[in-house]
Amino acid sequence: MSKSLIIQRNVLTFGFLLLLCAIVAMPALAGEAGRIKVSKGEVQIERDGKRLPAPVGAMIHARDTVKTGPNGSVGITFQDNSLLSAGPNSELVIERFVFDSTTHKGEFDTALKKGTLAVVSGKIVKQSPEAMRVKTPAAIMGVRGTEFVVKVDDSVTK
Amino acid sequence: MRFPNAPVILALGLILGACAQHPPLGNAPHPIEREAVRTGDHSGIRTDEGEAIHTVRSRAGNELVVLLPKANGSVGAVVVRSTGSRPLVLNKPYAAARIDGAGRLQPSTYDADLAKKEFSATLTALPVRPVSFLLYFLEGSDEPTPESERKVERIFADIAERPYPEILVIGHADAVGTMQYNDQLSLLRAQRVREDLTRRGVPGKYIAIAGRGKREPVVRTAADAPEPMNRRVEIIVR
Repeated sequence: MSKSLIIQRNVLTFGFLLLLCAIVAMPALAGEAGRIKVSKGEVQIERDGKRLPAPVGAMIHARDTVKTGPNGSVGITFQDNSLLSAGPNSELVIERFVFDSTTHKGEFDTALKKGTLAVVSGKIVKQSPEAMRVKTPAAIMGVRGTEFVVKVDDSVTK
Repeated sequence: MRFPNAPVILALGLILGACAQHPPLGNAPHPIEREAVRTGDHSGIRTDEGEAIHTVRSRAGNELVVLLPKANGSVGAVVVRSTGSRPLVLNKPYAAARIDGAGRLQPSTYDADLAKKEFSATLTALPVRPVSFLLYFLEGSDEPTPESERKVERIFADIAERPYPEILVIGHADAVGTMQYNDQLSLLRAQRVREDLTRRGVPGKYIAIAGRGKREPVVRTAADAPEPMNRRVEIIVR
């Protein structure tokens, strides 16, 4: 067998292993982070550039954006028992959700672009205070086990 | 011909090493360091906006954070960080911070009634809090104790009120018998509870079950000792 053919086969094997790695890693990257439990009025999920309906029971993934209309509101329960809800005219990005159900270690980043948000922290924060963070355009909230509300008024910036 | 050869094995090692990095928990940088960097990014975006930043700056307080007392009456804490001020810790009921477009923090105490009114649509949309229940069982059996049997109705009523309940049923056993016997027994107990719930109308697709055998006693006992508190099933409802 010629040397170039061996290299070709090696490249193919490498590519295959890379693909295998991607498949194995996928659940950790794009798995279920939470479920919609409350959905009123106009609510949408944006995932990979697509707009999806957001009925009760719909899955929420990391990197999803959840948007509500003028009469909309939405409530999500996450796998670590964190609760988030957004009021009308809100835009909430689930930037990152990683949770180990055995150790309760994890990282939870969300960003409120506009509107209102209520937060009840869960097991991630209980295990590691401030491993949950809520960003707004001007600030970052580090959560140390608590309930709070946030409002971002975008009427000036728009 | 030798195949696979050294480069392939090396590549395999590298790839598996990379795979092992998910999820990236262990090596995560300290949250505070990362936050500082991100806050910097925010300010960068703002200064690029030119005129917009002037408008934002002229109207203070277009962001608001209010700490609420928890359902059980206790209060936690939130640390608010921004580029324009030193970090502010909110740790009293209705402690609040307003943040203007320049990232300046203004601490205050918010009116409880006003907070409830202003955020009423948002707070109403909060999901029902996750809950867990315990049922106890007769020795060596998947039959609940009469007292636990009476609790099943109430547990079912709670579950029935929840939209899209995600239910985890975990069976446990006491130390009487072998590991294998107790693994089986704990799983039978969990199955029994799942049947009870589905018979009362909870769709089976909502229920996941597991048996933990005698691995997780709530009361430590001698090997082979019976213990009613350890013969249990946990029902966790999210």
